[in-house]
Amino acid sequence: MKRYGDVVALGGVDVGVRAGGVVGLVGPNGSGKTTLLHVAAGLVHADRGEAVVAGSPAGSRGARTALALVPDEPSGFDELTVAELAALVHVLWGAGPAAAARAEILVDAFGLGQRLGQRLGTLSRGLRRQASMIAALSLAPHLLLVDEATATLDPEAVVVLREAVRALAARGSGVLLATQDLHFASTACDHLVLLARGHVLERGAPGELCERYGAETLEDVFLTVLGEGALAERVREGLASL
Amino acid sequence: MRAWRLSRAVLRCQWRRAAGALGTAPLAGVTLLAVVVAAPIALARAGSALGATLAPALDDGATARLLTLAPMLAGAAGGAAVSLTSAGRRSLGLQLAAGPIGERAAFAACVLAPAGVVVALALPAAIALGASFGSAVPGGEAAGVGLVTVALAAAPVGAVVSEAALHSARGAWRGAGYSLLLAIAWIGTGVLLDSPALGPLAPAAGALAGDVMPAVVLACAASTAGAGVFVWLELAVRRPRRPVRSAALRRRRVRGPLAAALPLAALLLIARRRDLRLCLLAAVAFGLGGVAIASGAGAPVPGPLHLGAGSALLGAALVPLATGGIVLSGRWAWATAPRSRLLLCAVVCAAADVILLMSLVPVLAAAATVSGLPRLALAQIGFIALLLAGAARLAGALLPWREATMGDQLASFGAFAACAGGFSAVTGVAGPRLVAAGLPDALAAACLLSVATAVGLGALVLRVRRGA
Repeated sequence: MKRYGDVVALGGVDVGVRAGGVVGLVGPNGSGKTTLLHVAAGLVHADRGEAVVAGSPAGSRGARTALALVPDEPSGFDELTVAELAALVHVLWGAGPAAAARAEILVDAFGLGQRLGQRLGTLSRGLRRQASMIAALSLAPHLLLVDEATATLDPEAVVVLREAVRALAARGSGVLLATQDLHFASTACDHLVLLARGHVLERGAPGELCERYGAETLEDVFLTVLGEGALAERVREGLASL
Repeated sequence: MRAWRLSRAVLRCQWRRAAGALGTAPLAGVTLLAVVVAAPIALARAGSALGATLAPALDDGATARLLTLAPMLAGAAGGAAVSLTSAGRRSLGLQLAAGPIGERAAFAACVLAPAGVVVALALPAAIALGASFGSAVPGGEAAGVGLVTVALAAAPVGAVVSEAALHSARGAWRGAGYSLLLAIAWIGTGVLLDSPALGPLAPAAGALAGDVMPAVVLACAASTAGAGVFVWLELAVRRPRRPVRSAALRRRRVRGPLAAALPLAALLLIARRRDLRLCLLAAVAFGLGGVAIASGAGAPVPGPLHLGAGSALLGAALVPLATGGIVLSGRWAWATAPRSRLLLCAVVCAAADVILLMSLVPVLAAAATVSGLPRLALAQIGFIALLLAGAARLAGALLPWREATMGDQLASFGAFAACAGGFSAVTGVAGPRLVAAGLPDALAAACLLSVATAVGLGALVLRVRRGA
């Protein structure tokens, strides 16, 4: 559980990510997805309950070594280049030459080869997130945390991210990602957790969820679970007077 | 190893940032570089003149103590500002903050390494000032350099005091315990050395009159600095998390007085910045402390006023320094709004100046209570405050204040020191000439302030036009 004053950011959330699993957190803005990722990353301490990463309590040295985070808005070290950021992350995580080799593969896949020498502060937000992804994914950590996975990414980068996440999962990494992109969630994740106001409302494999609610798309499932099945009709009349 | 690699990355960023600023504003950059290079020579001359003026007064122990208190409080205020604006490991950015980097390594890389570089850059000028001042007093050059070591030693002590206050305010009583122990040790040592206010740094006052060997001053300063850094580190890595207040969940209409009141919005933008609020609180506390200590040490009028206001100004100058960063972070709105950018920048700068001057009010009130408030001294302080605000604005436009890492902030501090030095030199050269040309003192001061304000504001407007 995590509270901010009177606001419950997370309440009684129980989420597990097994090795090789890709779990997607979906939910409205402010539902607690980022807070949950930050608790797992040790950036935020839960008021009650515990988060464990690769057998170590979240925030401990062992847990930090075992995970990598791609934040929603990467910041700091604006004057380092893309290549220097990856190299710094590799040194800090104590990663070997294999990480550098993986970084090269990821750079090629994201198409950032021409921008390796470009400073982070001069990149667009989407490119900067790609640089952050290259640094984090090349570590091939036990647990990869990705916040707002597809936000600001172009369609090609979304495809690369999905394939990279699947490849990491295939080699044994666990992936916990938060996203608003339900199409991406349905294709990249093998398990989805729907959060709202800090609570888990629904969970299951994408196909299972659609079947359970007799819905054609995850968007329909999402709106039905939130009790907003007739959202479009409800707001259309009010917005007509814009 | 990690601390070293991280420190290198932080310093590399600052080096590139400074080089970038030099490239985008070559004239201002070259001027600042010239100020930095010329500072030791100019300060050596100023130190000689100051020493010659003050040497006869050093027979009085109170004057020597006051002369030692000034750098001590300045150093402590600087240390407090650095400590309070440090955001801990979060300043690494979320991606690295989640990594396997120890708290001490993060602190060393984000705070100690950039602070060390800033000290190393400022040291030649400070030593030139101290040595030339010392050459004119009975204690000699080494005693003057001793004053520099006093400022350096007081910086971590000021950081410890502010960290301890932060711990206590957040309900962690370890901080209160540390403060109590520190206060007892400080005052106890001071009583033994005949000056409770100066604590273990008291020998520096005696050295000015030639009564204490400079080596003793150096030893006392080094041990104080060492102990200060150790306790600072221990407190900083255990800084309790900020309690979160629940936001009032109220529905508000979109239109209202706030939407129309740009000055109010500017004031709120500044006042809601936590780092600025903390620094202002510390500045006022150090200012009040300066008044109390100077008054307790028997400093002649207007010593308490100057010491208190000077200490408060060093911390409060952060507000105009941060103005550039605040304006640039909202550039998406300012630069596209159908309003004059000059007006927008001027309003934010005026709001910053109002807050800066308001922070001096409690200190002035305290000084007035204990030693009166001479009109001339008040005017001098107002002049210095507005001149410093102009210098801070210029520095904030050249190297905008960013909350990202302490290195970023210390780079802005460094730019501020250089700009303040430059403004001070220009004032020292132009002021007497304006008065000699027949201008009344007040008009000459107004001319100089207008130029300083225009330079700072103009730099900010240009920066907003050009982009971050």
